[in-house]
Amino acid sequence: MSEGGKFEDNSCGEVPPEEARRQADRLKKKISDICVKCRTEKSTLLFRKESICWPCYEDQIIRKFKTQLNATRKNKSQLEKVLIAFSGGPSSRALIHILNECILGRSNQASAFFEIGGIIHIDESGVTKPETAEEKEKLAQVAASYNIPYHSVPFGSIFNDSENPTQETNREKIEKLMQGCTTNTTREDIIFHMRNLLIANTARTLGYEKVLFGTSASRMATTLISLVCKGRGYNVAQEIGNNDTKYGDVQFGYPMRDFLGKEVSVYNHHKHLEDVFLPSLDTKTSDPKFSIDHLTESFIEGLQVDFSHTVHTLLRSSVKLTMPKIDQPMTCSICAASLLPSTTSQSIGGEGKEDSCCGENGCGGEEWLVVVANISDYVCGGCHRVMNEISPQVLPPYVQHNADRNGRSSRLRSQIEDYLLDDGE
Amino acid sequence: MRLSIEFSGGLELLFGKKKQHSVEVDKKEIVLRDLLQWIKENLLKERPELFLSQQTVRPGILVLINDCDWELMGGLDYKVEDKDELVFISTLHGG
Ligand SMILES: [Zn+2]
Ligand SMILES: [Zn+2]
Repeated sequence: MSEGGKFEDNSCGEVPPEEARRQADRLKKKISDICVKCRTEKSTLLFRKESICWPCYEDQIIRKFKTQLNATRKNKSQLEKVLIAFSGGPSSRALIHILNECILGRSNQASAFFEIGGIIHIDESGVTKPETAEEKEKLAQVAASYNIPYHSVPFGSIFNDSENPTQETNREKIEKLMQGCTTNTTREDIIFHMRNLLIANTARTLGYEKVLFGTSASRMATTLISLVCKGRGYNVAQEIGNNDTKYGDVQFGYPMRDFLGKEVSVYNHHKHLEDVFLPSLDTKTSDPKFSIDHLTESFIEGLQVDFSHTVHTLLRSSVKLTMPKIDQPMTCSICAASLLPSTTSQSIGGEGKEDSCCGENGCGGEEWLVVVANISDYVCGGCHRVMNEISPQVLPPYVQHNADRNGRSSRLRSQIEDYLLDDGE
Repeated sequence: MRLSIEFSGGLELLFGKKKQHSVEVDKKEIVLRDLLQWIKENLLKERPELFLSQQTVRPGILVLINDCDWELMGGLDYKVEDKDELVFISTLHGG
């Protein structure tokens, strides 16, 4: 017993250096044993530098989610039927659960105005390793567990072209597209835009006006920085803004945009929400310079360790950005971003080659109706970089259709302008 | 001591695609800093740089000890106890 007493005395008089350092560290990080929110429970988690208990953590998540959900609403009095984009990842997995809980609870005004109509998943088999039967089953199971209709759309359907069916399978076309890119940055870049386009198109076909994404704050910050690096700075507001009109009548919303990846993972762990891990292009790469997206993600996560405000500071600055209003909105033939008038070709029709059918076989159409547009003339700055890398032949047919349409409207506009000028003089 | 160690969020790919590991560590006392090295030597199958970076877990990996944030438990200095449940989750690439 005397030995025990001795030990007690010792620890009281002189704190071991290791313990002293630990206490100083806790003080610096404002770590407290009791939850700083409810002041009753033992704290077990850190949320925005505050030590809190799990019930208070969950409460914070729901609160912040509802705020962001409300921010995605355009018409505040209408019931919105939404489609949820589910990648299989933790953040969209959490989105399904939280939104469903909010709707069931109906405790909050905003969530009472939402209805989940369906879940959409883009099956990127071919871009990456094909989804296994087990993975497909797991994805569908998530939707089924909430009784929500599930739509799995193959990435290859971006190549569907009812006008000119081809022998090649979509899987072969994906392969050519991927091989056509010389950098991983471009591969990730076009997958990102084509995936979004597929989601928007499918949503429109199914009759939805809104798609909710699980994009977390960490992901948003990565996207923001890499958009700028890839020459897409002009489109930041359109790509990650809440009320963007990039896809016309289909609006994208990001109610998870306030949460760090870690915060989502803690939530999922406590709620036993299993995500479906699907490898992406950079999974398991040890090359830090694999791609701009990959490099940016490590860069931001690294900063976040020492400067915990990194992600939110970046995003706070970005939400203030808005797109300038453009009178004649023309959109990029590849990614659908608004085109600045100056980014489109000045010499309209000059570089395009004429369709061979024109003037023959009694076609008789106006020349401007049948000119095959040069895709590079009708793409945004970021996609210009893509076009420098890949050959137009490997692109999905929608790109040429869009370019042709852009070409027609641009020629039409210049003709009208001529009339107007003549009129004025 | 007997420990339950879980890897998820894609980290399991570095551990032979196995998420749950129930392990016996032949030590009386071990701090988390040293346990990380033990994991690297005994459980990790490939690419250690995707798990550890400068003696700690790589940025973007979340560590939970018995469902608590490891920072509240003392971080790398945490004295691991018998029957502890450790969870490592990669939060990189969440969509
Ligand atoms: Zn509490
Ligand atoms: Zn573009």
